[in-house]
Parts: sequence; C-alpha cells; structure tokens
Amino acid sequence: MNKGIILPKMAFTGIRKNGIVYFPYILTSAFSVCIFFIFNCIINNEFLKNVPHAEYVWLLLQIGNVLLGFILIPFLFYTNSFLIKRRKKEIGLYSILGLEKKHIAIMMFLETFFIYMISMIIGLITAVVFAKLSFLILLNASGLPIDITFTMPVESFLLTFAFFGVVSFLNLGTNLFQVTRANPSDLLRDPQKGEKEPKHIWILALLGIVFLGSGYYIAVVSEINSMIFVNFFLAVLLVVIGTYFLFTSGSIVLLRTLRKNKKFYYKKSNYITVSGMIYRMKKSAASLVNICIFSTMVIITLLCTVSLTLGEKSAIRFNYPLDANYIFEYDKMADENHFNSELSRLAEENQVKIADKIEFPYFVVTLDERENIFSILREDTGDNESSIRLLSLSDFNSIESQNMTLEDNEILVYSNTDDFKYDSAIVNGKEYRVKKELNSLRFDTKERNNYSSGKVYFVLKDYKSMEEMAKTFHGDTANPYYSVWFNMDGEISNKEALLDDLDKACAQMPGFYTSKNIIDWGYDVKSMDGGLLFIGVFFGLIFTICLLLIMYYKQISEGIEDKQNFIIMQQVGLSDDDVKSTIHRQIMLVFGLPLVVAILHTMMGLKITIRLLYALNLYNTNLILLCALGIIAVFTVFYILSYFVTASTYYKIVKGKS
Amino acid sequence: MIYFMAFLEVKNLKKVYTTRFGGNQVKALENVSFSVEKGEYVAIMGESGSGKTTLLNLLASLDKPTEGEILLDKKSFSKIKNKELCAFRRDNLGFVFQDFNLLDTFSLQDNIFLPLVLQGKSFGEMEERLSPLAKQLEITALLQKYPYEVSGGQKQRAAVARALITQPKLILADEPTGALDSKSATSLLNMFSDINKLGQTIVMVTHSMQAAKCAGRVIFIKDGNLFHQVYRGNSSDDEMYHKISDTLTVLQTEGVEEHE
Repeated sequence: MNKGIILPKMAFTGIRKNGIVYFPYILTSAFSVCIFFIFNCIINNEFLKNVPHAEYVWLLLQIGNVLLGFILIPFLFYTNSFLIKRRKKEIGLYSILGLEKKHIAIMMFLETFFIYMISMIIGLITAVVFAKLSFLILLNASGLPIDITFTMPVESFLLTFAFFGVVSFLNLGTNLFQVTRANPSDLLRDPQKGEKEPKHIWILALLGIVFLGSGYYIAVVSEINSMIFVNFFLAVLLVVIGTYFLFTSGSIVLLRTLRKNKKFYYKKSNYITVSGMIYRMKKSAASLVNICIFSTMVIITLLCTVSLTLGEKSAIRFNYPLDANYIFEYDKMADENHFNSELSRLAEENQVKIADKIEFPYFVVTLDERENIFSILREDTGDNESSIRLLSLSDFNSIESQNMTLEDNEILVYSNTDDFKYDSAIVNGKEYRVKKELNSLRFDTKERNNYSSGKVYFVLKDYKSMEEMAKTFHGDTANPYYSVWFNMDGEISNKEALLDDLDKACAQMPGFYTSKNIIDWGYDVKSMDGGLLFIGVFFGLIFTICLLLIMYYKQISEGIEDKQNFIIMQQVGLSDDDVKSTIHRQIMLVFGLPLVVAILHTMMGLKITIRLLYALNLYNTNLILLCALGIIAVFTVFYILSYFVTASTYYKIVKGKS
Repeated sequence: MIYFMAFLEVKNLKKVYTTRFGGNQVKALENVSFSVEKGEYVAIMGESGSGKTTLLNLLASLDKPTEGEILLDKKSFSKIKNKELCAFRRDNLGFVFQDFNLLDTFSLQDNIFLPLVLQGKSFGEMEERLSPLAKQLEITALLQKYPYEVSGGQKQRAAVARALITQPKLILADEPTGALDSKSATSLLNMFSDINKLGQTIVMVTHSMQAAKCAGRVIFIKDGNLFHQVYRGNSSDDEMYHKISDTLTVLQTEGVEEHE
C-alpha cells in the first residue's frame, strides 16, 4: 500500500486502538477548548467595556483567562505523559518492523493533528451551543442587563486555535524527543523498568519544608491590607511548590522506611502495596501532588464562591446601615428643610415611604494622629495622617435616642474599626477626657476587621465646640457638612425612580455635595461578586474535572500495568478477596493522603481566605467557617464516591480477561 | 523412599470448551487417566493443540474439568471450595512458567518470598528457607536485583526458587526452558533433576525432547487422549532421548489426519 495512505491509517488506528486512554484525553482537550473559548468570547464582547458596573467583571474575567491558560498547559502536558508512556512499546515494535524515525514522526504528527482537530471541533461546537447560555448566567449572576446581543468574535476563534495548536505542538515535540532518542529495544522494555530512586532526597525534603512552611507562614500572618491578594497568590504558589517537593521526597522516605521494617513490609496486606508504590514513586508523587493541589483548589474556590453568595446581602448592607445618604455643605445650604420637603414630595409622588430619617451637621478634620495625640498635619506625617469626624451631643442623643451629658472638656469617642482605648485625647494641645467609648453608631457599622474605611468620630458638647476644634486645624476653611440618612420602603423600581428624581432635585439646591445609596452600591457589589462567582463556578468545574481525570488516568494506566502482576500473584496463590483488599488498600492510601493534606492546606489557608473575604466586606466569620465545614464535608463525600468508581474501574481492568 | 500408593491421580479427565455464542463445542481433553508417584519426575509431551496446556491448567486447579477427577495426596480437587482453592494452590503446588512470571515491582528476593508472605510466614522463617535454596540455585548474589536487571536463565532460577520455597507437594512446570538459551536450559534441567533426586515430585509440560529426556517418565498426549507413555527404567539420558524421538515419530505419522 502507498505510504501516503498507510501512515494516516496507522495514526488513526493508533488512536482508536488506544481508545481507553485517548478518549478521555480528547474529551479533556475538547472541554478545555470549550472553556477557553467561552471565556475569551465574553472578554472580547465590546459591550462589557461599555455597560455600567461591568468593569469589575471584565477585569476579573481577564485575570481568569490568563490563569486558565496557566492551569491548562501543565495539565495537558501531564495527561499527555500518560499517553506517550503507553504508546512506547507499540512504537518500538513499529520501528523494529521497519518504520523509519521519519515515518514515526509523521505518524505521530498525524495523530496529534487528528486529536487536535477532533478536540477543536467538539470543543468549539459545544462552546457555540453553551457560550450564549453561560453568558446569560454571567449577566444574571452579576446583575447586568440581560438584553444584550452576544457575538462570537473571530479573534476568539483564532486565539483558541492558536493556543491549543501551540500546546499540541509542544506535546508532540516532547513525545518525538522521547521516542526518537531511544532505540527500539529500550522502547519495548520501557514500560517495565522501575523508576530510579532519586538522589539527594533530603535536600528535596528540606526544600519542601521551607517552601511549604513559608507558604503557610504567609497564609497565617498576612494582615488585611492592600497586599492581601498578592500575598494570597504568593502563598498558593509556595504551597504548591512545597507540596510537590514534600510529596516526592516524603513519600519516598516513608516508603523506604516501611520497606526496611521487615515486620511491616513482609505482611500480605502491605507487601504488594508498598512495593507497587516504590516501583513508580515519582509518578505517584506527581499524581498525588496534582490530586492534592486540585482538591485544595476546589475546596477554596467553592468556599469563596459559596460564602460570597450567602454573604452578599450582608456585605452590601455593611456599608449602608441605612438605604441612602445625601450630603450638603452646611454653610452654603440656604435651608435645611428645603431638602426634607423635596424628599417628602418626591417620595409621595413615587409611592415610597421614608423611614428612620436622621440628619446632622458634622466636621471632617484631617490631622496627624499618634496614639491619642492629634495635631496639625506635618511634613513627616506620612502614615499617621488620619481624619476625624466631629458630631454634636444633641445630634448624637437624638440619633441614638440617648440622654448623655458632656462637660466642656469631655468627649465621646467612636471608632468603626479597632477600639480607640485611650482615656483621653489630646487635640492640638488641649486635653479632652473620653467620657465613654461608643460601641455602635447607627449610620456606621463597627467592624474590627475592616481595614479599608476606618473612621473615628468625636462627639462634642455642642456645635460651637465642634466649630472651635475644627478651626484649630483648618482655620476658616473648616467647612461643616450636613448629612441626611434614610431608609426607603416600596417597590424597587419606585425607589430607583425616587433616587433619580431626588438626585436631579438636589443638583439644583445650593450646597449639594454628594449622594450615595444602597441600590447603586448593590449593583457594584453584585457586578464584582457576580464576576467572581462566575469565575469561581467555572474554575471549580475545571478543577473538579482535572481532578477526576487525573484520578482516572492514574488508575487506568496503573491498572493496565498491574494487570499482569495480579495474574501472576493469583497463580502464586493470591485469592480474589486478597486482590480486592489489596486494591482497596492501595487506592485508599493513594487517595487518602492527598485528601488529608488538602484538608490541612485548607485549614492553613482558611485565615487568609477569611481575610480575603473581609476585603470584599464579608465580615461574617461564622458563616465562612460554617461554609468551610460544609464544603469539606461535601467534598469528602464526593471524593470518596469518585474513589469507589475509580477503584471499581481499576478492579475491572486488573481482573479483565487478557 | 518408595511410596506404593499413587500421589497424584488423574481419572478420566474430560474438558470441553463451549465457544462464546454457545454454538460449537471444542473437546480439549477427551479421556485422560494417569497417576504420578511421590518423587516422580514426569514430562508431558504433545503437539500444539493436543491438550497439554489444558491438562496443566486442570492440574494447577486454575480450571475445572468437565468430567473426571484429580486427586492430590488423596484429596480430590472437586471437593475443595472455590474460596480455599487459592490457599490450596499456595500450600501444595509450585509453578514454573515459560516466561518466568516474575514481578517487576519486586527484587528477586521479594519475588521468591511472595508465596510465603501470602502464607503469612515470619521474615525469619523466610530467610531461613531462602538461604540454602539460593545457594543451591546459585542466585545468592542476585537476590537484591530486579527482574529486568538479570538474564533469562537467572530469572528462571529465581522462579524455580519461588516455586520451591513453599516446599510444595508438586512442582508444575510449563515449558520451563521455552525462553532460555541452550546453556541456561541445560543448567535448569540439571537443577530439576537434582531437586527431583531430593524427593521433589515434578510434572513438566514441554515441547522439547531435550527437556523431556531428563524426566523419569514421559506421557504423550494426542488430540485430548493419552497416547503413550515412555519409562526411563535404567536407560541413560541418550537412550531416553531416542525412545522419545521414536514415539514422537509414531505420534506424528499415525492417524488419518496429518498435522502441521
């Protein structure tokens, strides 16, 4: 037969005959293509840059897309390594039968090309079908308007083709390198050889401990500040590297020790398991690390996603104890009642009830704060710059329905983050006694973990003392503000209409400074959280599928390798029950270890995750902890289920007729 | 030592395979009876497809006969429960295979220990049993190596050690020299003769006259039936070789159908 026909034919049969490993590989690639394309499509849709509130989503998706690439490349490499190992014997045989290296290269190129095309076609068709759907889900999750046309830009197609083309090409390169360098008899024997035990194992172990330790350290000690996201990724990176080193070296040290312990090793139940694991310890370690890392990622991703979903309402409410806030420059205001009468009129017009209204004048003072000494800003103020809000006692009493009294040199203090703690405050040389530190204020929620918007309030005896104190800092430029907070009751559309009308009316009023409300804020939060949720769900799905596939490949490839061993052992007298219990023991060890370590990682990562969520205004620690517990439980169940499925696949392969 | 009662008895063995879709029936063994005394060294010869392997599988209790009975040391195979078969095999039979069947995951020593580990023996006892055996089989220096690091002959000697270490009542060998060069084959056959002289019962299935001539008796199988038996008596290896050769000539020329 003509060579031009036989090589493609051989490539095709090569794929078909090895369906048990190629089929999942093609599915994986197709799945990756699908996800990658959908992500890219959404990013490249113009509207996302134009729609209000969508900038967060866009930014997050952009980050997600890059991350996705970073995750997919090593993953596809990893699955590819299973394939080529399995093919080596066959390719060695071809080369003995007279296929030149050139022909083998062409055949392997064709195989790679077929797989690439099949995965692209399946992946893109699925993507085209589901892109619109996932797009709608994204819009829904992030609260963006749904009636937007969705396009599939050409550049997304091109980029997807290019990205996976490069990955396939790199895989082909590694395969060719491995296959053409070895001589045929090596290829034939390759699958039998045990792995050499790596040298310098203690260095590896030490590196592992150092990396893992520093990763854990960062995860535990990082404070909530602007560096938290960077620290989070740094910790993840260190933990991944550390886990890899530690699993590789640790498992080998452990297995060696077990083998040296004659009493333990020469027991029916341990003998086969331990020797089998030593036989392929490096590959086992790589699989274990991957399983462990992906498990941790699934857990953390789910934790963030679920916590965000459940905590979104309270996160929105956190910044808005009351629904809306209007602020005026007090001294330019003609009449305080002008706004109030407008509000009442417009509320009635829009069928919204106004409730819980509070209003008060206040000063904002920018100053230098060191412990309890407050003074005018200086050259070297730097990090000590802070601002203080001044309220009068009468306003405070009416807002909080209290009957406090104050002397001239007495103040009340309220901090919405950490407690002020001091008994006195020295303001520009004048000492004030702190009569009481307040624990709450109706329009500003106290949260010790809030790092981004810390505010301190002083309540002074009367308006005159406030003005005097402000003037010591800002002289004549000390301008008071007038703030009105209120709740709304009614249909959401009516509320929005009211706020719109009110904003328009205020724009005409003298001294109008700014306004904000919970509805707009809700959109912002939803847009950001929705983007995060979307990415979380997508990534959770990807991580889970990667996890399952790694488990599957590990069991399949080992099952095929172990089959002959189990046949021999049965001839030597291993009973069916022994086979079953050995398999279960082996798989349990292989699967149990990553799960335990993944849970440990989660525990260590919990603190930084909680802080990360604090940064998103989610302060309900109990909720997060509860979520963590629930997710670990659900994940463990899922993990055990997949363990049973894999174990039975493995058992079937091992017990299958040869 | 002379035992007067049969140690291994095969009575009217019949094995019929049914093809997968239940249509055709293939008779692998029609009616085979023979017995083996304790301490005997028996070779079973026959062409491909004559039923040798089927017979060996039945003797190994890896398969069950359609009809007939096998007794080892007065115990009938058919009376052993399925669950106990494995333990029975482990405790009473030792196997030597054509392609060695050593596990790549174990060193030679651990391969040899495998049946003992399955029996639950202590490490001390395992070592005690191994050291004289390893000396006898000349593999002491190789014990820590892995199967893929040693030659075929060395692998087969390790496999023999694995078969012998349980001190089985019966050694079953399936073409043990099939994958060996002539030098290794000769040395292995000498080893078989030696262990047989120490009282070990051996049943060996083989194609090779070279191998069969070492046995005390050769049983010929043709088309699922016992065709003929050749006893060594007092003859030398060479005389035995000629007897076998003559029988094979008859075996191949007789009958209506020509094989091969």
